[in-house]
Amino acid sequence: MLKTGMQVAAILAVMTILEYIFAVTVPNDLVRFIGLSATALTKAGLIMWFFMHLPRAWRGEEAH
Amino acid sequence: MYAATSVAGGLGTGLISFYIGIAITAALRAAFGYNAWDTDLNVTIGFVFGLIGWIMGIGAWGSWGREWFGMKTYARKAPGWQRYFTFCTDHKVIGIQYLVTFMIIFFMAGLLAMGIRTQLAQSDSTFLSNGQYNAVMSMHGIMMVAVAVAAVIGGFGNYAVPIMIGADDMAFPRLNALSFWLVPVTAVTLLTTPFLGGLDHGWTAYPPLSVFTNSSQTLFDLAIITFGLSSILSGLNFIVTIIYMRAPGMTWGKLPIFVWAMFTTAWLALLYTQGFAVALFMIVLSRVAGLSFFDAAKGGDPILYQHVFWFYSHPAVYIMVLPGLGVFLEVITHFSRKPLFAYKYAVGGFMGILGLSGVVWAHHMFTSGMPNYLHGPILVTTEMISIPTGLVFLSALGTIWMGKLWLRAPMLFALAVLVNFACGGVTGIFLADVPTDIHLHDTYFVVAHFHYTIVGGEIFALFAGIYFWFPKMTGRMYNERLAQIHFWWMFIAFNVTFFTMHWPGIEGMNRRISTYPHSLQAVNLFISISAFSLGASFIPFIWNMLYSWARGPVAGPNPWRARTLEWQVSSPPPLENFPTPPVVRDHPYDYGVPGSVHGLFPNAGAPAPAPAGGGGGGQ
Amino acid sequence: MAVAAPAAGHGHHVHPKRAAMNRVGLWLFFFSESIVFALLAMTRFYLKGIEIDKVDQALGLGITIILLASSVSAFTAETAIEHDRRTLASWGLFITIALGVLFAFGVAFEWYTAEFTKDSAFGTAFFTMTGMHAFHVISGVFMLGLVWAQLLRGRYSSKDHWPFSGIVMYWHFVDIVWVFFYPALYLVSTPK
Repeated sequence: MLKTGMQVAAILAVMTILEYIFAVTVPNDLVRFIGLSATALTKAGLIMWFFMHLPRAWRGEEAH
Repeated sequence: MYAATSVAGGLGTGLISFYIGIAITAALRAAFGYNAWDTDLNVTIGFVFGLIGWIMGIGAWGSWGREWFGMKTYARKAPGWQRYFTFCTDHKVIGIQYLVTFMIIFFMAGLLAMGIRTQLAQSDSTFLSNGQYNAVMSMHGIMMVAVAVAAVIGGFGNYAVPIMIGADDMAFPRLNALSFWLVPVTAVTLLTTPFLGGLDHGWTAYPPLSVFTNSSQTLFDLAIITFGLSSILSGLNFIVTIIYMRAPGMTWGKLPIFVWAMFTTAWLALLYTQGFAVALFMIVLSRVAGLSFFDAAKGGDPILYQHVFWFYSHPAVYIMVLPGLGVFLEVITHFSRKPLFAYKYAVGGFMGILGLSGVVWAHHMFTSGMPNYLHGPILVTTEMISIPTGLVFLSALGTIWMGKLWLRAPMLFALAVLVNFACGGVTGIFLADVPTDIHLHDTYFVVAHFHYTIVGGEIFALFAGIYFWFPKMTGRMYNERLAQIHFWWMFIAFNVTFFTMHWPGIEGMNRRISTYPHSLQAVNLFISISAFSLGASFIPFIWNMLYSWARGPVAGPNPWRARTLEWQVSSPPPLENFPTPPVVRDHPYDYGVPGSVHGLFPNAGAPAPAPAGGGGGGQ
Repeated sequence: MAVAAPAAGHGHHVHPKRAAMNRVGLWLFFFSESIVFALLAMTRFYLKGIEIDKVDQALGLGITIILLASSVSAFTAETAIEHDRRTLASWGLFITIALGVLFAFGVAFEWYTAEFTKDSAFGTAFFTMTGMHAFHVISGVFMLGLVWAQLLRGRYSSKDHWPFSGIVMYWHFVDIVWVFFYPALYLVSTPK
């Protein structure tokens, strides 16, 4: 459990750095906008799924 | 007298916190070298402090707040009527609190409407000054909007939904009590606006006027943001309640239609109310912190407000009307003594309205100067919304068809909804079409249209619901003769007033303005007289309610011989509703279907306390 | 009036789906809140398109990493209390609160040193979005503090930790908002 969380955290950290490098290097506005949106959605999805335990919302019971 | 100490305690902590907030702000401002008194800022901070103080003082501290600090909570059990003045978590108490509060607001706003019509009876009347007229008109608008948004949801939603689905209470009872106790703050704050200069922008509060006008605007913003919070929290509560607390056997396909209406309404409230709150929040920031959202000279744009505002305020009309249509179908089917026709299509209609309501907002802005490419798509989506509404009408008409109509007061009001709302729908087409709207925009045609939809559609349904559930809520029966007098008087006066109002609208008489061309004198005098008659039509209602609540004949558990669960328990239902938990077997509206039973009480020692709706033809 | 109120048992029995109801209720609250933030972000794009005035990129990236790290420590704390590891949970909460306060100071510093003012559309949008987010951070810190105080006094266990989990979920939600606000305010156009 904790281990999965740390792996997800590492992925998020790497994505944040890549997001920054991507934004300062890509010159095309549209590509940058789409890339940033996709990254943000992925990061939000990862946080909701692993950190906020989204699946528990419909499983209903406290999973450990 | 626990009621008095409870309310006085809330008021006391609220007011003290209010002044503490003001004092802290003034002290900080003075410490940092500003002028200590800035009405907007000081009142805003004071309001936030006062709101928290009031909520905690009325009882949230004892039954909720102490928990956050690891202390034991307590809830004082007040007896009898005194419960209505405490932080009571019983959904039936909260339902009646909502209903009574909003009826009071309704009649106050109605008196303001009488003031408007007195002014407009003469083209050059000096009954009200221009400023007073603006204040009266704005207060009438926002108070009636509040009534329309919350009277049916808060009143019947809270009272009936948990019983109808076989639950013992709402999912979050304390949140429910919190939702209600935010309402008095809203009402009192709105009523204090005249002391800071009076509102002068209608209920819509468009900038730039609302940014530059007197400080009553700030109170308006704070009141409505608070009200929005209440609306969102109760929407959330309804969704969780309806998903999780249905009785065994109460599948989605057997949900009473009013519960379906409340479910879709709750989603609307949860999804869109933020729009109004954010729009007003931006105005507060513009006034208090000097931000430049709406200041074109600094890169802002006033049209931004209209987009954000109508993003809520068009769905808001469905928040008003959907629960009304739910009550309407509920009453129609019980009093036609027939199964609800096209139940699934009616549910689909509610879902369709839920889906479409978010993409029609800009039809309020055809003349605002927004980009022209928005006109066509918004016209189409707006007219498309008549399709799901039509499904609801289909269901109602099919139920009435060949039914044995039992024309008691609730049914009369429900049938009036059918007539009025159809009229409102037809006039809506002219306002959805860009070419005609450009002529009719901001005239009395619009006023007539939305009074037909909201008053004709929802307030009539509110009265249908009041007469329908009155015996359940009070245990006593209202006086049918007075109720019928109220109905015919109100129905005729309403139609005469507002149908006539289309005419000056087409002639170009502007709404929201205290004078008008002399040529429209006669018709306005006529409208005013019938409006006074409409106002007087509530006198028999008020008398009927007050008298019957105290002295009416005992109604018994099921005077309408209805099948839904709330009629299978005593009137009024006991605390936690069901002495033995109900189980649901058949559809709630199978009137005349042999052997069909909606609610069973399998563990009851004695038979269910009511003639559990086993069909019931005739009458 | 009321007949046969069941005196015994009122308010004591817990609904069998109570945990699920709490959880879904909280998700609905997040859903509702996210619309507030979405409307504020829309305001920013409506007024300014993707234009960005001069912002402090190093500071922006810094506070983003800080908030992400606080989310990780909050997750650690929640996982720890689910396994009754109270010391780790307590440290997790402490670090989360510290990082949250650091983030709030970062935003304050950004406001203090910003080269744009509230008299421009970008400034208006920037101060509103970061301000609304910082308000949620501060309220989150306050609530985490309440939970921490009770944890230190011995409340919460693997069996009973809903308030703890709920507030950690809220903290993650605040982080998600920043996941969208950070690119929308700092990265969406070529930084000047």
